[in-house]
Amino acid sequence: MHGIKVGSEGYGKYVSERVEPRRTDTEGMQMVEQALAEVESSGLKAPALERLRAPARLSAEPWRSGEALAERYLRDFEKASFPYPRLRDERNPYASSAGPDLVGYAEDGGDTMFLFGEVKTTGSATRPPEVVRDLRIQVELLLSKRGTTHLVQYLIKKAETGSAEHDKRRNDEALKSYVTSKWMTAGVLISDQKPDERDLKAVFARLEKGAGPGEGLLRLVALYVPVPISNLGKSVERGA
Amino acid sequence: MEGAGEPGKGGMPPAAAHFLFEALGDRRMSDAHNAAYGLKTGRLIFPSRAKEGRYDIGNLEHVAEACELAAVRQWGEAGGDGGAAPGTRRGEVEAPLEDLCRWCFGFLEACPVPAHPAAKFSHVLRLFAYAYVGDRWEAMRRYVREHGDRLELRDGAGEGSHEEAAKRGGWEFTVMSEVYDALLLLVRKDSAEDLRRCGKIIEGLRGRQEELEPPYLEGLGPIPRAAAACRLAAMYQFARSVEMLAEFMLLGTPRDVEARLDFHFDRSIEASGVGGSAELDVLMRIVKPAFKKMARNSVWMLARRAGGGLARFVESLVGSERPTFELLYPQRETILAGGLLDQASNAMVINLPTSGGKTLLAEFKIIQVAGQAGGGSTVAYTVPTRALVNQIAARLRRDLGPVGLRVEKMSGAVEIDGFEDGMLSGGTFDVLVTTPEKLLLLVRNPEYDLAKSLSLCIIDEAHNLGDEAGGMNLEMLISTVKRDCPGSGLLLLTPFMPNSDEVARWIDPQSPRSVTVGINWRPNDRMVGAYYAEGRGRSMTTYFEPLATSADTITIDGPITVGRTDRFSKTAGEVKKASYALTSLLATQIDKSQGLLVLSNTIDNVWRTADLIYKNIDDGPSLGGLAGLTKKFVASELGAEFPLVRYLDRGIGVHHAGLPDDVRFLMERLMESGQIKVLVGTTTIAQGLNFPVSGILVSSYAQGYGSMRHRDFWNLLGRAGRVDQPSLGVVGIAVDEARGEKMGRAAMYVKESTEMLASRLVEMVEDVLSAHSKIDLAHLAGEPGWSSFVQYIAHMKNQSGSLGRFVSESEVMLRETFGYGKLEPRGQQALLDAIREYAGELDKKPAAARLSDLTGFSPESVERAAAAIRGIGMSSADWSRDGLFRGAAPRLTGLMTAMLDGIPEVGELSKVLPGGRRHVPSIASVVADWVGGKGIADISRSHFGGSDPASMTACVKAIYGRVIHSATWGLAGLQRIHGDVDGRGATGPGSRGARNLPAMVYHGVDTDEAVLMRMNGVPRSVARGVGSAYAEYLGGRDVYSASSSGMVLKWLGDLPESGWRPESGELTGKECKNVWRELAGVEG
Repeated sequence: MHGIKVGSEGYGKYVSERVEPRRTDTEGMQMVEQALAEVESSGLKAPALERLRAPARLSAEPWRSGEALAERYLRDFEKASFPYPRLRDERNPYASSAGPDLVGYAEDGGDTMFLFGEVKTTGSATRPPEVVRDLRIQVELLLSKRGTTHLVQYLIKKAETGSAEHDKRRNDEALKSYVTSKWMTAGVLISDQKPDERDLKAVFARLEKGAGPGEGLLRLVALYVPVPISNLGKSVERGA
Repeated sequence: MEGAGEPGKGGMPPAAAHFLFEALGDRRMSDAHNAAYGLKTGRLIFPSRAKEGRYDIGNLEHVAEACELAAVRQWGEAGGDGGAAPGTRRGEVEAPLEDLCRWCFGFLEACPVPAHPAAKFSHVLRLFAYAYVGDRWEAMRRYVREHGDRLELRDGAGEGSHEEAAKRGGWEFTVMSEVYDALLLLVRKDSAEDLRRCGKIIEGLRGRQEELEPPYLEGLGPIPRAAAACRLAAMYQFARSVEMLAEFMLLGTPRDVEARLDFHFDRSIEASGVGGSAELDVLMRIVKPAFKKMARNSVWMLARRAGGGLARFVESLVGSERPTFELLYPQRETILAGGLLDQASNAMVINLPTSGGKTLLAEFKIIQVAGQAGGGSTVAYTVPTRALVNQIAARLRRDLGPVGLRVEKMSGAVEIDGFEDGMLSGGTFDVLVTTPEKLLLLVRNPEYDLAKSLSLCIIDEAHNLGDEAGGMNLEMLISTVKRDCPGSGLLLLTPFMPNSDEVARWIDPQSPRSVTVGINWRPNDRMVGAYYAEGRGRSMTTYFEPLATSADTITIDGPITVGRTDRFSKTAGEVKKASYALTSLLATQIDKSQGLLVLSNTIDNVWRTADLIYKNIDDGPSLGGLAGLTKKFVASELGAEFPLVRYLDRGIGVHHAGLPDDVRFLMERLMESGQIKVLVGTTTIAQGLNFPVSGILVSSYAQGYGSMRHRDFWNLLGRAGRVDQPSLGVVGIAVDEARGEKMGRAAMYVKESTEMLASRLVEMVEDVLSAHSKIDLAHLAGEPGWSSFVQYIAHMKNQSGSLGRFVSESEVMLRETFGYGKLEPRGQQALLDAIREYAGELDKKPAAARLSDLTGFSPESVERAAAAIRGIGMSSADWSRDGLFRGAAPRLTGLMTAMLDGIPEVGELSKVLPGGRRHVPSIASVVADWVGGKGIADISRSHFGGSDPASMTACVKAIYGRVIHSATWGLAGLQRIHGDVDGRGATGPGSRGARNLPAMVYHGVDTDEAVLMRMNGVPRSVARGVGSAYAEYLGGRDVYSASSSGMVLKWLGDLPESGWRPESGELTGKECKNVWRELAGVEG
């Protein structure tokens, strides 16, 4: 369990130098348009595009920037890598389980492994913030490995298609770790409040206690940012 | 990475097959394997077995997942077109994708079916992909059938109707569940209707999209909405793929189905990715090659390879009541990789696993050859037994009739009766089904043109070449076809034989073709083991110990408890001592719902076993349909007290040489249709067994003085579990105790591999030369095997014309045989010398050599027979029904004496009477009573000491095992020889009636019309009456030229039930007609 506090100056520098912004709405919508372009060859009609266009600027929403920030942190401090573009959205209400926010690789003790992470971004002053409960539930799911198989399969596909030999090796290493029940689960809380270890302490204890043998490694991280969460999106975009 | 894809011990993936398996370690792999197959044995075979809790399901799921990851990784850059080569990338050992898929399927199918709809959707799609890419589509079809309601998607959601489901899960759920339903139908394909329904389901979605999609999407936030739209787009493309493939399987269009599937799947994968659904993305990637594989398995793909006739055949296959849409892996490979339908494939050996579907392959080849050869050509199809002649002829008629090919069968009798003579002279058929012995007689006979018109000769069960009894005959048949039938191709069908290449080189040295496919393919998993009982008094526990075998069978850690009892009618001591008692006990405990075959080494033990099972199980449900009919038929033929009558009440059938052919045939039909659950038979049943069972209990694998040949054992094992059977077949061997000598022997026996196929000739020559310095053919001619060989030599001598020519060609002639090339130089020279010397002798007796061709006797037998006939003083008038079979039958007695004294080929006749008593007048009297129409019970009372089961068994065995084969052959031969001695010949006009005399013995009736009726499946008890009605119907027309089998069958079908009433017995006319329908394979 870690908690890191960054001062406002350091934050600005870090964000501007290190954090990659999420894909813009325009790019995303272009991909959607392309994906729907040939639907009618199936004999069914394409869902009307005008209904799909988002009224708001999604890329500026705080949770999206929170994910970007968390991803950067894990790259820098857990030797994590996220080599493949993020899926646009995992929130399929009818999928067997909702996918995690972060999917990539991490290293620990010389072993390469898969990393699955959940990120919660909150401006709540309650201690611990309400979102921590959701975070715990999601992390529990990841720890129990439910719903990660198809993500691993997805990573395999990505690694096997047009990747460098190095990426394939990394994937094979992670696969070996995975079948022997070694992978990393990360839960990241992003808050604009004062740092407080109580935010994650109880949750960590509970998760650690509940974890059975053969479950993956757990990292719980709280990042306390010096800007209000409502401005997080802008700050990350500006940084970029 | 040779060997990486080989199955591991007992069907388990070897750790060396993949680095992920190595990472998991042997223990976890083996625990998962034990769990997967332990659960299966519990569910399918040993119902009283321990519950699921015994196994670590978590580990099973974990290993299944690892196996899936290995497979998905292997799908590789090729886009997973199912053709990925064995991977050796990055220095790791990796099994071929097909093997990984098979393992995935094996683990995953044993895992519990997930309850959550989306998880279930994914589970089924993955199983589907692994089954198809692993070339085991039949396993997926079976999975869908076995799991039935548990696969319902809406059940898992706790929902009922589509409307309710849509309300709860929205349009996206509706689309998923309906496409899923359509996919299950596409997998199942029980009928053309299933495929039509696929199309209707997808069409229904189109109809509802406009109404249901907009409100669903509008109810979502902006990001989930775009993602949902993408996922929907992916599902729409998938729906179209399902619809298109269903159409292709049904109609063969669109012709470019694979390219179109590529298009729709690629769009679906793209949309899944954009929609952010990793799960759908991966599913579509792995399902895509499975869809293409199904298209490639389609029978329509074949229609394209060879034009007109085949296309019509495919249409009829798809349109039939029990349609064939897809080829099994071995079938597809035989055609595509093996080149079965290549025009140059004139001689081929096809090694196909038992149940690999070889009859269909033969049908394809027949149509192709018949199409090329045009009218006037004939395809011969030989099978080893009379029962198989009937079964195959019925199947070929059903399948080939619609494409205009006429199929006839000829009895296995080594004679040509008047009707067969008419058939052969008239050339009214395209395909002839018969036994090798009969075909050999036909192709040698210069009176018919068969040798010239033969365009293809199919030898089914060709591994019988190595048989002590019939092997030499088969070898001589093939050698003769090679020499005398230049226009004929040869197609040898066999279960696996290790040296099939050698056999292929023999049948066509210029371009040998041997196709061995699917040695590791099997229609379902099999487990071989030994069973035993432990306990005291009446309290016993039975165990099954899985054994490792030389074949790809499953083993798990044993022993497995089969059941416990304290009520069996034998004590533990008795059960341990007598394997029939132990086997009976097992038979009462094991699951019988899919058919259990119980085998003993003697007929006595068969009866004991059946009786003990009968006493220890309850009555089955009341007999209906065919079972009830069979019970009445058996009572009418063998008496109401015959034990089989009561056994049938409890779902037990019996099958051995002591039962009439018709009864045995009905037993097989009952088993095939699931109307009896246990069939108790002798080990000889292996030959020609053509029905599936899920379990086989072998009380003893002894046969004669040794063990059953391994080839026969594995062939038999092949019957445990067929394409349409449950996913695990079990074969058990009885042993007395867990660690006894018998267990050790059984374990060794199943580990030994199938023998190489060796020519009998080699063995025969070596035997003679071990005791003598030369081979004296004239002296050996009476011995089994050698008789066939000298007949071959006599035939070749006849064909050569002159002795000089024969001698100069003799080595070439010998090289036509399979055995000659395998002999040591000394043996070759000795054989060559022997046939040259023998030919010199034959040259002095051309008539005997010629008659040898016509009778199937050696020239020596012909000479002895001719002398005997002269002694009897037969006149041509004696060759009549009344002259031979009426009254005290003195002529018949004389002829039978001639047979017994001088014709060793029919030596079995000496065993007709109980104890092998040689009293010729009594033997003749048995024959006369049989022909005169006496019932079995009457004959048994008159000649076999009563009508108790033992006497009846001896009687039936004497008649069906000896009289109808040997007396028929002997009589036909003597008739021929007499005609020659008499200087008349026997084929002139008006002699067809006389030619029916041997056939009367064969069929056990005494009129020409009754012979005709018997040939067409009419039960013996009504054959005479029905025959008279037929004669009336014909008026004055000639029964021979006016009676094609199609016409007779139609007339029989139209004959009112009143015309079927037997003269005695309890069967009604209607019942009797129904028995005929079964026997003749005519649908009612």
